[in-house]
Amino acid sequence: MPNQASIADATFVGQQSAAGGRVRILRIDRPAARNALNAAILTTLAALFRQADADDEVRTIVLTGGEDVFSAGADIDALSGHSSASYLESPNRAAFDAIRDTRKPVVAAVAGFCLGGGCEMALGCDFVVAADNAVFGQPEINLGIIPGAGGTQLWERRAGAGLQAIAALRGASVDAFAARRRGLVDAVVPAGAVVAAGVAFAAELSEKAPLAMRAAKAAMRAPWSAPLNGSLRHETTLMAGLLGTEDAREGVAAFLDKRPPRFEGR
Amino acid sequence: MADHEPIDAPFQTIDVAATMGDAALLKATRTALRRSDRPALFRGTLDRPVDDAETFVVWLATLESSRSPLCLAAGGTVGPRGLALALACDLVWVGPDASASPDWRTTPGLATLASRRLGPVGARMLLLRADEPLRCLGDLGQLVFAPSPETAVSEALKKIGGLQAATARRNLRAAAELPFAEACSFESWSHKLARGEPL
Repeated sequence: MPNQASIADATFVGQQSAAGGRVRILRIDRPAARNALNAAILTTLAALFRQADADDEVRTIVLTGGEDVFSAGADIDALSGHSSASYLESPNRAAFDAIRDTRKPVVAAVAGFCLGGGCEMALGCDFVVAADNAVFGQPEINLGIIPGAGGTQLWERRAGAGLQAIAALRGASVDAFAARRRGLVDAVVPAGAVVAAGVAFAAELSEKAPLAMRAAKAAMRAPWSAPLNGSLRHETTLMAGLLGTEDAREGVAAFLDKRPPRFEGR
Repeated sequence: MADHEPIDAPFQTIDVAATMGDAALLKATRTALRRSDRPALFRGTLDRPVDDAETFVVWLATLESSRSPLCLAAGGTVGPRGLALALACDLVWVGPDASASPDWRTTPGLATLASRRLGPVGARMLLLRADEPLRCLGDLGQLVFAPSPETAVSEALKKIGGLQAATARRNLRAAAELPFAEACSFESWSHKLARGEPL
């Protein structure tokens, strides 16, 4: 569990460390607004993700809203102030891109409402651990708009076209167990334990070879911007690069010696 | 999401009036379950026929997904909503005079609810062989006949405790919904939470 005091600041985002500094926990902390996302939160999160990504000590990142609610979505006030032109240039899109572009594995620990922009943020992570009171949805269609930060794409990648349509076109929500059945989330835990479960998950990931983790994630994400054959070639190139690393030599040696590997990120 | 009233506080009641249509019952149920995680006791007039099967089964789904323990104290004639509650609730006591209305087999969602609660054998026993469903449910252990059902429910909740009842309900749902290993993992977290152990 976290070993430093939370540093909540005026931008409603706090950060902590766990697992000897290998896991960075970023927490949205605006309970009075059900963690509604405003420009300050998104910009701060993007900066903290970039910071964690650049910190060699950090191997995995946990994103959470705490034990009660992940995020009820974007501030309606913030959305309604935009025109077509201003939205394209707003920090919103840049913030979601920065979070999705993080090279290290990211675990979303989701309790309560995970809607709209909050859901897009969670589904942009690599793993989603859900509390049994979590509810996922993209209600934007009910406001005459659409999800604008990945919500028309990310559901399909995890759970298929059917659930994507249910989310984006019907604006229907799914509970944690339905989400698990469809593969939208990776685990369901009791409410009250989701942050600890997310951190435990991340801590386990942080034991893996960090360079290989980043390469695997890059290879997995390549199809997001390239057709399949290009992604396969990209995967081969990344793999070739890893074979020259100390971690790769250590991994093979440990396997042959029948002992746990010691990965240093070199 | 539910507020943070202590789970061990007395249960909340959902009073079902004879005039309450299916839509109103659905709304009242949702409101109560959203407001609090305390055990919810259904009581009142339960012999009203179904207005709208679609709304009725949405109500069943709401009951099924409740994180609060559900309780029923019933007497007299019990119609489709009463029979559905007798199956859906976790703690069910009915008076010695309780019996189902003649149209009980047409309760929407009955087969699904019975299969979930009673398993395939119990569901067939109820649907295909029972002369009187409440007696059948009593034989299967799903409900208990008692002179004073509300008192019996209250005593049962005091004995087990609201928190234990809520934990049991959530673990049972996880057991029904998740693969075995994942459901066990769910319960291990539940165990730590219930015992106040560091996570």
